[in-house]
Amino acid sequence: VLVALVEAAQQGDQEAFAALVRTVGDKCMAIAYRMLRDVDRAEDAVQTTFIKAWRQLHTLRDPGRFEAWLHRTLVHECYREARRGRRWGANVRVLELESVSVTNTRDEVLTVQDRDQLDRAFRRLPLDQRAVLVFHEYVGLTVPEVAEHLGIPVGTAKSRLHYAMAALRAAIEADARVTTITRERLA
Amino acid sequence: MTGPRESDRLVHAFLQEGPTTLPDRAVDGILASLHVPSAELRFGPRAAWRPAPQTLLAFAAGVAATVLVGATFLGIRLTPMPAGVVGPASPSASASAVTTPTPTPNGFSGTILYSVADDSTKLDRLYALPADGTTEAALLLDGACCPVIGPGVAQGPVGGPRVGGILVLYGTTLPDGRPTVGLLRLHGVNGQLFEPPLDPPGNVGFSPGPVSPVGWNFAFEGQSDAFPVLSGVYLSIDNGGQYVWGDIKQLTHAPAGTRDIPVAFSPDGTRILFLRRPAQTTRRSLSDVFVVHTDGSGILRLTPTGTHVVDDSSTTGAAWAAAGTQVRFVGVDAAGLSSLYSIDANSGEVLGRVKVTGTGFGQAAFSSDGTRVAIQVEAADGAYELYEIRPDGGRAFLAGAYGSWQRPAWSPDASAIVAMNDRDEQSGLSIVSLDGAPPIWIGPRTSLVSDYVWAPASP
Repeated sequence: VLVALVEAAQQGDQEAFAALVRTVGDKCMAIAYRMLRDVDRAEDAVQTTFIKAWRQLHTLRDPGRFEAWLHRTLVHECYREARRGRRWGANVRVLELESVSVTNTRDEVLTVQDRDQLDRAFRRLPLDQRAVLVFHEYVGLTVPEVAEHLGIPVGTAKSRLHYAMAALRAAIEADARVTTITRERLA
Repeated sequence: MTGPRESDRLVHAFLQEGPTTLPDRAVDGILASLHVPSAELRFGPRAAWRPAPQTLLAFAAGVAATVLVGATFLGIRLTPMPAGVVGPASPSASASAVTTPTPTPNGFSGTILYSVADDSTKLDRLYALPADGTTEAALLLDGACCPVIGPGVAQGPVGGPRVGGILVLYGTTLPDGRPTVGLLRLHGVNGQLFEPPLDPPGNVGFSPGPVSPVGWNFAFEGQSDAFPVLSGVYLSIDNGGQYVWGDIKQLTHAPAGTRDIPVAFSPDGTRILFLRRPAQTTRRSLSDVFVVHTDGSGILRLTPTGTHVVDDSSTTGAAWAAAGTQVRFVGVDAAGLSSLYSIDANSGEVLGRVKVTGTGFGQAAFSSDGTRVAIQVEAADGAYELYEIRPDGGRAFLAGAYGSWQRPAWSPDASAIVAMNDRDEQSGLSIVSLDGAPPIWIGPRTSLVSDYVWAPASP
């Protein structure tokens, strides 16, 4: 069905393209948000991605590869969104001189502290590593599939995934240590 | 402590959280854009710029420059660049990412300072790129960003010596993660750490801001999530001690959900122009222009009711004019129409309003003397074009072909601008001359350039 829609859209069928947007837009939004951690920027990235896709759809030779092709554009737009307006935010970190709010109220998987640590750690990852991580861990693609979707060699995808996970683990550990020290100082 | 398997499980769970639906408004926006005629496309063929293939010598020099680690202070690695040695044009360790600009002088002078987020270290890196295009960029500092041109070269602080070169403020972070500001001296593309960054006082993180034309006073943006009341514009007043850090005074309190970004001192150094911006910015962010006296009194909003400036990252979106009696900015009203405003800096009265032709205006950038303004305009396909707004409200096309053009920054003499051009999947800084000559790509070939300023030539 997706291939038929792509082929129709390539012929200028706007209804078909609209159906494509509705079919794959949600996944794009989910990916963009997870890369950018910002709803507004994710929406902007997705919108621009689809507008570009409409303009350039005629250049897609194999309609069966539409989604991978679209995802490459999406990742590129996420990079661009991330660059926008980071002037003062890049090195401004929240100063947490008060202890991190600790709660024993666990949901099924993540505590508030887990989520806070992961969010800060994830934001410190380079975007290309975030992209590999999101496509592998969230979308559920294999490493070769990730490589295809991102337009990078398989080895590069493996490497980025390795470094992303290693960095995230290390960052979680580091955050845990900082939190412990902060609590000790305040005690 | 958290083990690898536990970490992996947490990461997986973390990534499952968040929105999974594209809102209807976004879908509607996409579908509405499909009706734009294809004749308005902006994604043309690649420009005929000629980035020469990287030579082995250039790469070796780049590696050598990176290895020549200079003074280490507080985790900042200073890398002075010996004369004649060029550094990598890109922070990437990949040889293929390094390119060579056209090795002939292009007629421009000065140095373009820019920062790039480095993939391997996760730190920003600050580079110096000669505007004349004859050599590649040189790495100045690891862990530094957000350059701001510093005090006049002939000035010295109270009781201090006069200094040579161009002084540049930069943002960085201390080993404990707190943001702060440092000062370096620039000679061409060579850098020297002039004053190391100090611990920001209290619970506030500081980002670089404008420098007073009178005395060694500096404005900073202070932020504190732990104590939001401490967020706002700060002033460091020269007390004869350190070059940058003097007596620190908080001038404004940014309301919840906003940030106060200092933009420029008035010519007499007694007032500071600042933008009040939503804390979470997007391309649609609307800011207001304010002025405050350097003693913290007389805070006055200058944007008329219902009018704002579009601003997602620029700190040159408003400027002093008429010897400091007026402020100029490009404001957009509720109907989406833009005008070039001239506002009485003392009363907030609108002294002049010239409607600007067209719609879709993004952030503006004024030249340092406030006389010229470049602006990015969003085309129907989402790409940005650059225009200069004429005094009569007309607009002169500067750049728009070959991808999106964003964030113009003026040359010191206001004869040209440097802007980020995003050509398909290739990006870089290009110089756009106001004489109509084709843009000149000067590098670097990376999509992650975040901040740049054009410094004058070193004396």
